[in-house]
Amino acid sequence: MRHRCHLILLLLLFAAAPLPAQERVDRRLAADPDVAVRIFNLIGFTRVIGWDRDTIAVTGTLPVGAGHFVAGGTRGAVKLGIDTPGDSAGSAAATLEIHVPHGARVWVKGAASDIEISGVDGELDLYSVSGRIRVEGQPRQLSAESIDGNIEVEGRAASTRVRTAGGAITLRYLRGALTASSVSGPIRIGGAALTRGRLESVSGEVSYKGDVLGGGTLDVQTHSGLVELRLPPAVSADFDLVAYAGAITSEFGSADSARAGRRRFSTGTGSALITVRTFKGAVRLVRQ
Amino acid sequence: MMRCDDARALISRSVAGSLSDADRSALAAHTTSCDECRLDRDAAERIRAALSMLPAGVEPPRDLWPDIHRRLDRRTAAWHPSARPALLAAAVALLAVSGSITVRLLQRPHAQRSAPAAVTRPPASEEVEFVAGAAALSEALASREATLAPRTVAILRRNVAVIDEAIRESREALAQDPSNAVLTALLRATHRQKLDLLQRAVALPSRT
Repeated sequence: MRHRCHLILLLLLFAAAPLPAQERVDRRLAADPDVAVRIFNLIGFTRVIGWDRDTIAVTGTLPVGAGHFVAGGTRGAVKLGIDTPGDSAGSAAATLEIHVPHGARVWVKGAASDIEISGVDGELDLYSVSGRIRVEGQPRQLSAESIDGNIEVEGRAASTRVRTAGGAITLRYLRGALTASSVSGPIRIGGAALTRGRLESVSGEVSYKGDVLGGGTLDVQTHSGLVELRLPPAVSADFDLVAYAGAITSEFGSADSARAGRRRFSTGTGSALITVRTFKGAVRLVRQ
Repeated sequence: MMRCDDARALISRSVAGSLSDADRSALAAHTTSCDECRLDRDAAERIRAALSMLPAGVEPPRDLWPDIHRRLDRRTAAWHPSARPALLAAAVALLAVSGSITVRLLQRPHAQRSAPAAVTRPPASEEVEFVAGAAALSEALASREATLAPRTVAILRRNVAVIDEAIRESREALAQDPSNAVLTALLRATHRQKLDLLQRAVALPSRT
């Protein structure tokens, strides 16, 4: 009887104990206009927004099991994010919204977490495993990598480098230099006007709609992925197309015919250089 | 002005340590103005540094390449826990072989080392380096497999299989058409894709 009373008392104590609450984040840090910000959030969602203040403001929520929020550094360099034991991801998804000065240089590491960036003009270096990466704005330089997450960019970075294995790459309105690489994921580019483009995939399809500026280069390479280039009717370029075992069709140059092998021709004054290499992917050149 | 294709060929050769001073200077000049090639060069230097940590003085008793080729096609096509000891043995053997080849390449006369890069089939030594690097990274990845999410492992395997199939097809085509520069470039690019994917996979955080 006495033991039973102790047991009931213990159960009542446990029932009365408060449940561990989720952690709320609300921090502000003074920062230089071009502050370097390193952000870690392996599971969940990270949103970074450029604003017109010399302050970094972080808000967010961390459920139990997500780890703990940490932040520190100087006005010129700040490191913040979710601290988890060792190198492993937490077991719950954390959500962070981080405002940074427009000119900040931002580095974000995620894993199973989506990353969204907007309005940041400095350099961006973004990494995820399976989460989606989305960028809007005009960063000076952009590097985005994932293993299986989709990468979407809408903006005018002077230099863009994106790569994924199985995710889809979707890029719109890019200018300047671009390197895009995938293994099996498709690479889709629209509204581009590049000075230098290098698009590589093993089995993913590559579609490019846009222009290649005078003196510029566009170099596309796949093993088995279809390559489709939609170019302005007045494009001025030297074309060098090779499909070792795939068909080449072109609405530019000589009369259209589908055949494997190599086709070389020029349009206009031939000021740009467009090369396509595939092993067995088809190559299509289409007038916009 | 060096083109990116030529720079990439030099970067590939740099893994084997087979660049002449002139090649190195030309590559350095190119990479000061080309971010993509600079990043590729840095990645190649990391691979070269990793290879240099392994024994380099083992001379193969005979021409092992055909046998290595067959074994690697079987063993590196898909990494698997049960294959780890065999894969490790293959990797160690290959790294020893590649180290030996590196030494031999470095001992070649200067004129041979500065031959044009992008127009001929990659020398077997270059492919050995690629394959050796991939084998070592596959082994490292296999040792981490249990710490990664099953979905991630499945994704990586699927993509490695895609690359391996592409490598196999390119090799077969090159066997029929060994002087085809385009096939050579495609094969080289596919090898680089595999190294790149494996390097990134090895660095993945646990439980992702």
